[in-house]
Amino acid sequence: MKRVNLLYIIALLSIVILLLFLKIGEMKSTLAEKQAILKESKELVAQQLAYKRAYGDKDYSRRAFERIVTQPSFQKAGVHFTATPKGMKISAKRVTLRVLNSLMTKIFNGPYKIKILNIKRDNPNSADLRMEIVW
Amino acid sequence: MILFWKFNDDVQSIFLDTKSTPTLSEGKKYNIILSPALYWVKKLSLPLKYAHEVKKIAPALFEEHLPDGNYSYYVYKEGDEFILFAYEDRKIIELLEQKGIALGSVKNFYFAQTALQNYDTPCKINENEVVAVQEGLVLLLPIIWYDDVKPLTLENAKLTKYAVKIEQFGHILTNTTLYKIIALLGFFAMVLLVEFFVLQEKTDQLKDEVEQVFVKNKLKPTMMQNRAILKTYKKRYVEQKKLRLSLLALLQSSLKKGEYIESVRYKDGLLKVYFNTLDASVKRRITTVLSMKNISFKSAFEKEKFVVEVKL
Repeated sequence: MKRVNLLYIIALLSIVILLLFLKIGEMKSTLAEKQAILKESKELVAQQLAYKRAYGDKDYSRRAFERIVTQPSFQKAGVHFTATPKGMKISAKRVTLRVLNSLMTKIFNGPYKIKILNIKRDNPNSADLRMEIVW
Repeated sequence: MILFWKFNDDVQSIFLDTKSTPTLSEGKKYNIILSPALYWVKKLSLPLKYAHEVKKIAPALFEEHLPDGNYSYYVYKEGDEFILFAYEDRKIIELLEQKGIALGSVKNFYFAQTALQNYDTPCKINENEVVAVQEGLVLLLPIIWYDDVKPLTLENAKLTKYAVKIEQFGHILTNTTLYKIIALLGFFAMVLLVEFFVLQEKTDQLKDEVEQVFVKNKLKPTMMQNRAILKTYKKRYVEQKKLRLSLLALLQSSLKKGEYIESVRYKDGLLKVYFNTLDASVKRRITTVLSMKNISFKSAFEKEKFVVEVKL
């Protein structure tokens, strides 16, 4: 093999090494980027799930609220539940403070997003309620 | 055809010798005919078939005749015999520089052995020497040996296929060194190639893993969208939590006999709680409770009521 050919081979190998270096550098940054995305997406999923469980799971909120709606003590006390496409409207006139307290405790302890709340005490024992919950 | 001749006209043949000065023409390429002073030549009959086989053993064949130096070798076959050459690239290049000839302007190098083989009459190359053919070898001989000499002209020089390459760094880099460098670079390239494939594999695995997380958890295609959704969830969580905490704190506040919460209003992130009192101490009492829970608020007396406003 002529020496000139050997020099060509050296030049070719040098170019290949240089290209590999560049490509490997690029791949390392892609890898780091993907690792960061994976880490972030896992954290994001965990956080999303946690927040969603709290007030963001529409189906769960709807099903849980059904149990409040069907409770006889609220129906007897004249609490009206009106379903809307996005949630539930709750209203009551002169509901006793005991019933109101019971209803509020259940709603505040549940995963419901309260959009509007209006409570007006009309006498020492009862109050009017207007409330809107969205899923 | 015209182009062909023009091309030929642009190449000038020059006899390169240590003691003579060639006539140069600007802008021309040169075919350099190396004087016998610049190489060592041997004509041998060997029990080998090919020139490349002889080239391998050429250093050994020249060993006892050559002064110290870094030699390159060239061999070709002529009939049953091999013509062997030994030359020093560095010396030839240095001489070219001395004579003002750039290596880049050289088209080809030829040995006088091949180019002047057909010269029957000894040709004068300087005041003391001639080139002459003796027993098939072109040699440099004293001019005094000959009565009939003529000046050297290169019109009849035979530019054969036996052109030789002169390497600028030939004296530094021997073939063995070059092979070692190639082996080293090759090994290095292989290592990098392995790393490349390992990284490729890792990246693919990671891509799959990311994709699985996205599909399994029904995430949006871009992280920006997902971050926005998370922000919405977080905002909702903080708002609802604060609403509940604020109401709880206000319900826990110590009220005097006859004092009570008259109404509660919440809409668009603003909570307003109305107390049926004008007692100045209520503000202090409410502040104590809300401050303990780190809830910032505004308060005022309005139409015989004490109003607490919490921005969620």
